[in-house]
Amino acid sequence: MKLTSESIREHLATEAGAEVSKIETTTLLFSSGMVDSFAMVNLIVFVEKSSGIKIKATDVNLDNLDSIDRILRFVASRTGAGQDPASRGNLP
Amino acid sequence: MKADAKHEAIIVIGCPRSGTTLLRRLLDAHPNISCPGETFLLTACARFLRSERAVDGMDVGVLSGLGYAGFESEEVLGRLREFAFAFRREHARREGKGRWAEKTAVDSFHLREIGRLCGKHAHFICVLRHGLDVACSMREWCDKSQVYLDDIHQYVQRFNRPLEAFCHAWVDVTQSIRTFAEEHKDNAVCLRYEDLVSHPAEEVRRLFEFIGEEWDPALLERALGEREMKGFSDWKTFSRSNIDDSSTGRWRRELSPATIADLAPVVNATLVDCGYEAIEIPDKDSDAEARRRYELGLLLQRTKANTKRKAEPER
Repeated sequence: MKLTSESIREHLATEAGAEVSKIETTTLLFSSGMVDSFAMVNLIVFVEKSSGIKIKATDVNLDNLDSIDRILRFVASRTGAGQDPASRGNLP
Repeated sequence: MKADAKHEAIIVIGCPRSGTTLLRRLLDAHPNISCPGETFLLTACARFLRSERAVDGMDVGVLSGLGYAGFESEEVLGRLREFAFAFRREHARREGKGRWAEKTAVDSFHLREIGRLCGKHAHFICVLRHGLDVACSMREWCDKSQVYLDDIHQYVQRFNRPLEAFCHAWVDVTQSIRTFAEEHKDNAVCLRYEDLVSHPAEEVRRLFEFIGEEWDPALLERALGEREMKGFSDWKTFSRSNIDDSSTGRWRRELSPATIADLAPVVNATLVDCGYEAIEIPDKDSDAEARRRYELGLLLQRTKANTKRKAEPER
């Protein structure tokens, strides 16, 4: 499964009950309280499964994981893959 | 359907955390119905009537005991009913209302005795709600109240995971309510919490039609405008000024896939009986995945703590 902004949105909607219309790619997820610890763990597991990477302990931080853009940028830096087209030019 | 006879008593039956307090507020807002906080009258009567089955199938309890002293069961039940109803009748009269409604959520654990006592002498409104939402709400209530009420504690003693205990309580109570409603077709009406909060006007109108009272569209606003808590009640509902469905499906947000996988088999058959969809049972995590989740949870807590520390001014 490929990790995209849409797949993350869909995950947040189905697994965390988030309203997709309120989630921009720059919306802060964890620090804003939109996603609680529980849902955040699920999101990280989803990111790991979708991208095939295992996130190191030192990489579990808000800079890497607090928005859809940050997640995609972080994953791209680990896999060398291109960024999701939907989020290009929209980095925080 | 409209009940044939118009009884003075209206009894709300629902598993605790099923929206019975919301319904209580709606009933109390009617100019002819008084419905104060929980009185525990009927649960107390049910405990008075509770008997144990002894050898040869004989019931050992107050009815058979007084029976040997020459008091017929119907007479004892009639006196006890009058004892209980008289309190509520007097209270309704003080409030200038002609009828009264009784709502004590734990009554739903005592339906056999309550049916025996009040079966033909009241209208019953039976409230159903999705089992996992009830379990989530019960967990929150017990955490905040720091108590398991006796009827719920019996389940917590049997099942060492509270959510599982709450689900079993919900299954037993819900099946008991469904049986009760079936046995009292003429004077019982069912509604689902989810329908009440998504279409309050239609559902409340249907209820009032059933109990033979006029419906006034202004009643919803009046009910939620009342902020005074009368007696034992759910504190949460009084912070709300409108009816919405934000609590519907909370289990999807609050329970992990692993917990859902554990609870779904407990509640699924009853959910389907009540017209809800069966919960799809998610794949359970392997041991390695479960450990990974735990590890990530700890890392997130560390991140949270670091962020908080950075945000605090240096002392």
